[in-house]
Amino acid sequence: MKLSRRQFIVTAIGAGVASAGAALVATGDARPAFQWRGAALGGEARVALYGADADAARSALSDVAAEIERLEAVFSLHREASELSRLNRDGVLDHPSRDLADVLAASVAWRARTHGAFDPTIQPLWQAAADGLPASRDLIDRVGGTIEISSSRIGLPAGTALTLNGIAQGRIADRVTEVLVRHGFSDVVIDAGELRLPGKERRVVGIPAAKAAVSVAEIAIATSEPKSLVFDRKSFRHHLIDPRTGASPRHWLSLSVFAPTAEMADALSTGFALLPHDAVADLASSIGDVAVLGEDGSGRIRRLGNLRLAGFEGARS
Amino acid sequence: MAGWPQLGVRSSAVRCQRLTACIVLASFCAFAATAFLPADATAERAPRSGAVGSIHATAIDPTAPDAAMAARLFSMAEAGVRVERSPMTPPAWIATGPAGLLGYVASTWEIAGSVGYSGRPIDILIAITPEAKIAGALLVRHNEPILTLGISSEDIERYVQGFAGYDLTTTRIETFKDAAGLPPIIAGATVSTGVIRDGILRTARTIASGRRLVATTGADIDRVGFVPRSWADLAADGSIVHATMSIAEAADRFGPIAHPLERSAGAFLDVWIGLVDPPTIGRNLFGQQSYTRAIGALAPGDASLFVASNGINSHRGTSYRQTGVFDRIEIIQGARTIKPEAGDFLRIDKLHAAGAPFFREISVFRIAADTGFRAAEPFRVEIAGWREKADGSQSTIRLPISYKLPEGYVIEPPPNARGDAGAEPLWVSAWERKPLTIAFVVLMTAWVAAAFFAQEFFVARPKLWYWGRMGFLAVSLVLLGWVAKGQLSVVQVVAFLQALTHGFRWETFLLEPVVFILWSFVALGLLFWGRGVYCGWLCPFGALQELMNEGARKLGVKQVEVPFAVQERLWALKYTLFVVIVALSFYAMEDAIILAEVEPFKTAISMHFMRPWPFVVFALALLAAGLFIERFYCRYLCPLGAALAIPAKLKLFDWLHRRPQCGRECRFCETQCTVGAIDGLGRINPNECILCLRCQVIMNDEAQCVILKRRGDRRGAASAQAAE
Repeated sequence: MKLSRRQFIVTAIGAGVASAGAALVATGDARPAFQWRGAALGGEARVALYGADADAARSALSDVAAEIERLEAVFSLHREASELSRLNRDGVLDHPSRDLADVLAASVAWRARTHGAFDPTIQPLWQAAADGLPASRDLIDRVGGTIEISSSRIGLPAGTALTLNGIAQGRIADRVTEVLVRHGFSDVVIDAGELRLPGKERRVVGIPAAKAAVSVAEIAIATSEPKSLVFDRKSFRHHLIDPRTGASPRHWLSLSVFAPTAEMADALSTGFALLPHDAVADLASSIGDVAVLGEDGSGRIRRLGNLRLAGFEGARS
Repeated sequence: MAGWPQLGVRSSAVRCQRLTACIVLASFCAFAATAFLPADATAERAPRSGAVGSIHATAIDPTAPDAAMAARLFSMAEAGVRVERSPMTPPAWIATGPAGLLGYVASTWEIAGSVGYSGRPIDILIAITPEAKIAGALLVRHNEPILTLGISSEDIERYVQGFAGYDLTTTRIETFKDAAGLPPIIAGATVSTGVIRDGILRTARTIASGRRLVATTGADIDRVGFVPRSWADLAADGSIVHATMSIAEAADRFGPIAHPLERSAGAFLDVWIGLVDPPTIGRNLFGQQSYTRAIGALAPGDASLFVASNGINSHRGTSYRQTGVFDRIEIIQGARTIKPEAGDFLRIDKLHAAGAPFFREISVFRIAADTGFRAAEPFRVEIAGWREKADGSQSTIRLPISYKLPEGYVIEPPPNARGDAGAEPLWVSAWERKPLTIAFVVLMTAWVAAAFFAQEFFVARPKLWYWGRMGFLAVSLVLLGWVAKGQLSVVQVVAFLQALTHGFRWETFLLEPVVFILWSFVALGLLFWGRGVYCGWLCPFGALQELMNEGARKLGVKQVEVPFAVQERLWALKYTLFVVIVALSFYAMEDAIILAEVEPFKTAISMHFMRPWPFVVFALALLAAGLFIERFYCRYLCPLGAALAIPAKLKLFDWLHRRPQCGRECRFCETQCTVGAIDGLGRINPNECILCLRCQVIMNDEAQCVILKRRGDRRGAASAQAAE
């Protein structure tokens, strides 16, 4: 995967500072923020800290930067020496990091759970779409191979290549949250394409897909939108590609997934976007701790799953 | 910036200017410079102080890179490249491209305070990739007098660009050697290129280590001191730290798993960790014997980590026996993830420390130095546990434990041994590099000094004087000039004056040992004898002119007599040139340097006539003129000569002898003086005299000196009378 419009924005509010506002990302705040800017998985990343003193902020930002750097070295397809790039090149990787093994194991689990809608082996198809090539039978056959995963070795079948861009960004967001929490930034807003709000205090978040604002806490939100990256305007071939067919379906105009971790929200928003709303409804209720707000292909607003997670008190699914 | 230091430097600069007006070059010598440069000025010039350029009220800001520059630095198309200032230290810009992070861009002026030969900032933007390689370098500001050295700005730019691709993980390089991966030093611009190289490498290393792109030799830890401590003491001061996860918490975090954990009160994982390298931690924990065993296996720079745990989840697991790697433990420091291997593991059965609890598993893991792990810096250990889910997949949980070795065990490195460029000043290696040349130049100057101190002996022997002088000039020309490149230039005078006003640094001038020795000697020589010490003996171009003229005379080339009145007025030319060059240098160094091209030194000496033809024609024309009017250039044009002539008024001794009759009864010397420095009254003009000592030889030679001849005649007549 060479293209990504995803942004990775972390806004962390120091403990003891009043709510930095309800906006998606509190960049409008007039207080001086300490910022780190860099890149995560090819997208822009931003971490902003509010209400911290300079030393605390510097040390936290430096650790965040190091953590992102460390995870880039695991997941990035832009780096030839990353664990994932080496795995794709050699077809095998000994002694993978815990992060890679975990995320890959989770990916395989979500592949089974979503009946193949989410699939980390989609890389050959995705690359072809990005290069403007048609989804040939041969490419589709290269997707869906069995990945051998253990804590000491990962092996891919021949022809298989992985991308974890549909999930790793969530993992990074979760990891960054951990780092910030360790530094005492308990009230954090992390915008990495998916939004993570681990703090206990409720915040109002605008969900464009549902044309609504929700009040949530201790949650991660991931959004998928076909229009955010379109390869071919005419045929509306976009970045959300069905691993089973190679097509870019139009079940959803926009879809936001609410889940306890950004990794989970990220994976599910990728997978759900390729499924029709009734299939999503079934899956969401069987998974349990997930909610979906979205505008389907016909422009209808859908609210699915455990809506308590999306701030709807006492709501049923 | 505070107003204080600026004021301090400015007033000292003014003082300096005033002083320079009267002492000008004499102050180049050690005494003068140390005596006249106020202490506050020297203190103020601590490397990174932004006040260096403070004669201008505003500090000079580092050049901020724009997208186009960043694109050039990282050799890519400009589209999609963005540059942003990063708030972290060391100061730098972050460049991102369409594919993400490109790397960092930093300014040598901002980080290394790189100051060139002229005492003015050299600013080079350097791009460093996340892999700690120099992606490119761009010279954005300089005032180097490189033009006089026959090197174009393009050469310097090419040199700067030559740093692209240099790998900063390479250990210390020898500054002046042409190290692998670095562009070769430009011959003839040693100072400028040396300063540039130093600036680039220091800046790049600072960024690379400051942004943790490379491992640095940071603080070390105490591996010697021992104080008896109990388990509780060690836990209290953070020598060992603890983390725990109950079974209930683990069950929550696992979520639905195939065989749910029994929710008992016990621990899923209860773990203590610590670094045991300091004996106060290790020896107290393990006892002398086990401690020695654990530490004995370490190589220098290795660290050893103690992990002890209780609970239903083992921190070791069993798979390491098959795979050779512990899959449950990760040691994470900064961007590094380290997995201990089976060979790095030592099992400990029992703790020795008083009050230590019982542990199911106690391990010591060696963390090899080549992992980049730094014991003095914080890190975390993550211990994982997993269970199978109903669908056969795994659910994993992690218990992270953060650790930082308490300050008491950390030894800060001595400040100068830290960080950059291997700590040795640049100029030291410049001196170490050419001992033979240095010895030769010292010998040359000593020889000149000896000749003047033993002047009477010397001038009483016309043959010795003539051949000694011709031989010396030949050596000056060939060895000192063409080989050792020991040609002084008015540019150095200007650079010195600029340095006085912009922040004088011995280091800059020490970079060129040959030139430094010559100037030191000339500064002293000026006080004792006058400019002639240099002009008449050590100047290679002067030697070339004199030797050529001598040859021309031998071949019977008729010399042009310049009437003294004309001569005297033509002298003014060189003073004018000098003053204009100095004045211009305060306006624009570049222009002053272009004007300084009236000096044919570079063409004839430093570059061996290998220059574009206009320069060669000019130099040859001057030499041709010198065939008819001896030392034509020295007499009328040389701005360096003018610079040296002005302080000649200060000379302390008058060691050139005259007879009372000189100029009245006899004007032979006046006609013989090779540069027309003797006026109609027989006075020697010290501003023009090149101290060839010809007049002194004549004065002592009965065959030439009319006075002596007359005396001899009279004596001869007297003795003839007496004999009769």
